[in-house]
Amino acid sequence: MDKIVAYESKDYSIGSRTFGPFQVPLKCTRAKLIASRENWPEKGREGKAPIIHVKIDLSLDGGKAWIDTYVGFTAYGGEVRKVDNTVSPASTVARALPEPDNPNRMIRGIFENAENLKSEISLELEYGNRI
Amino acid sequence: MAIAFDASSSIEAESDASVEWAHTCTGSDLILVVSAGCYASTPPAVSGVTYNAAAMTSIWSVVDTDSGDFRSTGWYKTGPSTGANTISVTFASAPDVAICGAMSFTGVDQSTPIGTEDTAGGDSVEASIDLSSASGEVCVDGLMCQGCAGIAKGASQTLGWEEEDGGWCINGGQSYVAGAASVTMTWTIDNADWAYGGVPIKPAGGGETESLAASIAALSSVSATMHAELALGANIAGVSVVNAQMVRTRSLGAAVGAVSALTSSLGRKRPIAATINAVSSIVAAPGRRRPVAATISAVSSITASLRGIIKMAASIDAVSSITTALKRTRGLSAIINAVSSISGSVIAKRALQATVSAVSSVTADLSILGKIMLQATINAVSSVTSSLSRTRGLSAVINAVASISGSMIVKRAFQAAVNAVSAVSAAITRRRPLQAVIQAVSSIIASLSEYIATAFGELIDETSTITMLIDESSTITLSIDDDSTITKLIDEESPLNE
Repeated sequence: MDKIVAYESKDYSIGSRTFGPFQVPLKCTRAKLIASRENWPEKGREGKAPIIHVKIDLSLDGGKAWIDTYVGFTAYGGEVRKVDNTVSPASTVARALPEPDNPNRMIRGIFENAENLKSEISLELEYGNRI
Repeated sequence: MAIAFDASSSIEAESDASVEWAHTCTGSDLILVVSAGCYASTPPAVSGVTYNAAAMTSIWSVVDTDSGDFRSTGWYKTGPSTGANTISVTFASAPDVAICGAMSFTGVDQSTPIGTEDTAGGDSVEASIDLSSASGEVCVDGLMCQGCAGIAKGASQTLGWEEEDGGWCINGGQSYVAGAASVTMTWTIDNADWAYGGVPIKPAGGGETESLAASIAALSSVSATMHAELALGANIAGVSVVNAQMVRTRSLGAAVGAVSALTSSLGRKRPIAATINAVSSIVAAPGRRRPVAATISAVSSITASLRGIIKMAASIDAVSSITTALKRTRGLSAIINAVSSISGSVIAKRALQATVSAVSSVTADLSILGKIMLQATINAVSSVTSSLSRTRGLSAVINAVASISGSMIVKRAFQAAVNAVSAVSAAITRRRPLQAVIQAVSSIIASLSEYIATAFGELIDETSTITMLIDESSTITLSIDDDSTITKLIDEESPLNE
């Protein structure tokens, strides 16, 4: 598994940021987009506007054409308690990547935050069949 | 149209309020079925699913009946936008784990796309649902479960997608299978909690078997209807045309009769004979009524237009015969006869005048003698024609002139002329016609005097028969005495008086 840190862990003021494009390594079968929940304000709870949006686009032809929002997520602030009552360390979303033998695959992304927050935005790249 | 699998897509997420991913739809009569599942101590409801920003319709939502930690929801949209577009699943709150995916199919009924869904939830090694479906339909499902040992779709099912959150051993997937009256869809799991739902989707135009039968029935019906309509349409169109163009049989008979009459009266039989033949042919084949009607109309038109031509043709024929006859010495008589014939048969004076004009043009071919004689005759006839109003009188005059003309080639011409005039006098009681006749004869005599002096000078001498005939004791002289009617009508200057 490879990890690509798009935005290091720090406080980010409200804004929109792009990252990439990155070339996707051969044989890579899955990409996981991760936003660490380090210090997210207690805003944007249910019924309110989300405070963070992260997505990636995918290209299969070296960046000529892009599949918009190949995968992405939005999240509210505060803590997310898991079933085991632990606090979720991150918001993630993962999706399989097609054409593992295609050398022209590329990824680019957008990181938007509606509130000041601390987070690390990264990509985890997996290889082989997970299931 | 049979349902066909188009594409699938899926994601797995943690601690997100909303997840989104791209899905590409291709084809027609599309349906997009989304399975959105989540895991949490209290699994949140799915508040909405959109595709390309268009809302999708909820099919099912079920929570497992054991721990109540898993929720499975199903959503569909007919006619989704083709191409790569974003599916967005929004949860009421961020679940621990969300596993979502989609399958799209083509050939789906767009008005009644789905049947009755079935859902189930439990804690066992197999998740199962039963769907009431039909041949031609396709049953789709969506599973959300805990399965650290993995999951496996039912053997008869085709995998759409499968996702696993390894950290939590949370699994989800979608599959599909051909429809039947009763369909059981299953997933084998790891003896854990699961929430499962499914629904049959219906093909465009009904099930495959039903669709074929329905299509055949529909086509047969349409075919029969079309035949009937075509036939009816043709009949209506044909009848309309026939009605519009046909005349009654009586008209046909009248037309044929008229043409026949023309044939018998016309000199030029060839064109009319052709018409008769055509009409006869048409009459012999009465099935073709439209041509008959058209022919009748044409023949009627010909008949109407030929009426004038007939008269003229008759006159021309007569003149032609005159022309031929004039080449002989006795042509004048023939001319007179012809003119007489024309006068008797043609009512309108214009026709007579035309004839006279035609005859006048003939004189160019005549000898001097012929010209003189013809001119005199024409003048006489013209004079008579313009003066007389009664046909009987004209006929009588013409007969008289004809008699004169016929006698002129002999030396007794003048005597004959006098006799003729006498005859006219006896025949015509009205003074005005008589005066006209006398003037005409006078004109003839005046015109002929030059000729007489030259061509007949030797004949009309003191010893001529004519002179002898017109002597003091002649009948004419005796008849035209001072008390006669003729004498009173002939003035002092009349040549006849001399």
